[in-house]
Amino acid sequence: MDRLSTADVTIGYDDTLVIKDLNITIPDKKITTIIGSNGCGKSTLLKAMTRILPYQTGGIFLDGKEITTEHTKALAKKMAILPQAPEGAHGLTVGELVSYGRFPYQTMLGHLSKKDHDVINWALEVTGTSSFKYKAVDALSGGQRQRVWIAMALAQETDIIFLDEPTTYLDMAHQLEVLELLERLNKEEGRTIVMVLHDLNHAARFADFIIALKEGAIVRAGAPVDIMISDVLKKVFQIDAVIGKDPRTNKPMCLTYQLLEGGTLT
Amino acid sequence: MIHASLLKKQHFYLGLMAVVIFITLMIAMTSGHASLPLHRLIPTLTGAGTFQESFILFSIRMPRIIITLLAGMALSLSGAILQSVTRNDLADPGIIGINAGAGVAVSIFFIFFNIEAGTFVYMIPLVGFIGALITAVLIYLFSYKRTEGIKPMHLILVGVGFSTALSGLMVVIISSQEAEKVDFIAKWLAGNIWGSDWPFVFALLPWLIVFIPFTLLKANRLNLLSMSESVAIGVGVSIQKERIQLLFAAVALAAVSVSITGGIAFIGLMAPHIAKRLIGPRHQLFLPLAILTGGWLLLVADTLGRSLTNTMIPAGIVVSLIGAPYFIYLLLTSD
Repeated sequence: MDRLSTADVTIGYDDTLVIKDLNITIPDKKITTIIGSNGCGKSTLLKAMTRILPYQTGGIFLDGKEITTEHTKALAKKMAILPQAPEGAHGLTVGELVSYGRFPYQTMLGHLSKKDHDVINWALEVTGTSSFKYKAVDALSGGQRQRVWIAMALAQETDIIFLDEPTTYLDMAHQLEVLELLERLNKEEGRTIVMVLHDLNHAARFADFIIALKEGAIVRAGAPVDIMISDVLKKVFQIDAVIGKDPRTNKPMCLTYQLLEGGTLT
Repeated sequence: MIHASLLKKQHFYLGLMAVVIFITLMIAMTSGHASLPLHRLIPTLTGAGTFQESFILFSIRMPRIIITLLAGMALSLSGAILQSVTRNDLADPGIIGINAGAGVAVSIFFIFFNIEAGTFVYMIPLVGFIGALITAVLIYLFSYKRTEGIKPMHLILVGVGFSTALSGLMVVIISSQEAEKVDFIAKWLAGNIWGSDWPFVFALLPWLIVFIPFTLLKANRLNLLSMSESVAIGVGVSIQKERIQLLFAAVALAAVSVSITGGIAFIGLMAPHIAKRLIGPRHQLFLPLAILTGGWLLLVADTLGRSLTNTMIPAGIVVSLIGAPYFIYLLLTSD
């Protein structure tokens, strides 16, 4: 049973609509990636699904209930978010930041139980950040910091994890490190992962399901082989792409591309 | 999850601040126009002083000192809350218009209702409080957007606007009146601790008794609110609800102290900042330290103001003398 879906949802800021009447169902226990060019509404969709941005009309449903009707703390036990370029960890240690992920389980006094400590340690371990536990977050490299933020999301113990461009600002090796961590969480723990990615080949390689957006509407949604087609990429990115096969993973990949006549201006 | 060594450090600073406050209290109780030397302090405190000594200590100095201490604490806590909720280190009840709101209300009340010293005096905190609350509600409404709720940045900008407009209004009100009549208002504006009588102590104390534990209980939420919005929502903080509750606490604390002490700015800015510098950004650690620091700072300012020269310098001016350079320093060093 798929748990998360949208029904004719319309999302926007103030008076400008970014997404109009969008219908999509997020497959359960799979990795879903949202792709599209700048300003197509992929982050907006992610924010709406995670109740960071209220939507105007239509509905977003989790387990048959509209997310706006559920208590935000109850939702935080079902879905975790890693925002794009998260901030605010200034002056905190890694362990403390990860402990904030336990907020939905805490009482008013904010005391951490034995269970909380166990989950925090587990989250640090899975993300390979245990050795930084008492270090300041400020002192970490970009890749390490990103893994710590993922650990905080994991500490929420949710079945669904949303990530907004988790690989931004990371070098190639660290990008892969983050994506492989997410893949492991999906395969070994059955977590549903929904993320926005900029890199097409990463999307094709790691996602089970890709949603291709353009101007706030879905061009196509499906398995990587259904999306990594030059026709679709033409529509989504205005590029003329040559699609081949990754010799190692057998996933489709974009070998080279050029701008279409008219480029990104159309 | 807070490291034991950090807790130890906090206890050390809290102890140190308590000692510093104690010493300052001794100095404050023995300095001023009428003489009450240090060696007479203990006898007077235990009831063995002369009538004159007891009168000076119990009826003049002590209520004033306690009010100063409490008001400083309240202003500091208010500033700390505002800074976290707006995610801006430069937020202070004075800067975002709460002082000015109280000021306008007191001025209007003072001028349009005939003054009868006795009862009037006790009306002032109430009037100031109502003025500050109305201002805060207006600031809130003007910075509210239907789709996004309140945005911290809007709140600050609208607050600064209100502060300027209300200060202007106050100048208009004052300049339309005769000089003697506005003398009191001018002193009030300068932050002259005028409400230095026991009833004011009891007007101030309940607010602190309610809001200090309230804010400390919210420490974890404040930690999250001062991070980015999406992080706070993501872990399940109802940010609009928490913001409203905390803003109310901040406004109430600032309004009630400002209406008793007059317009005092900068305490809410300086004290939390000093505490954060010493012990870091975790609210459960720095709030208690900020509260003590705020009380101490205002006590020092008032003691200096009434003992340095023959004419009394209002505490608000002494605070500003220290606070303004500190504000510039903050501006220059904040990233």
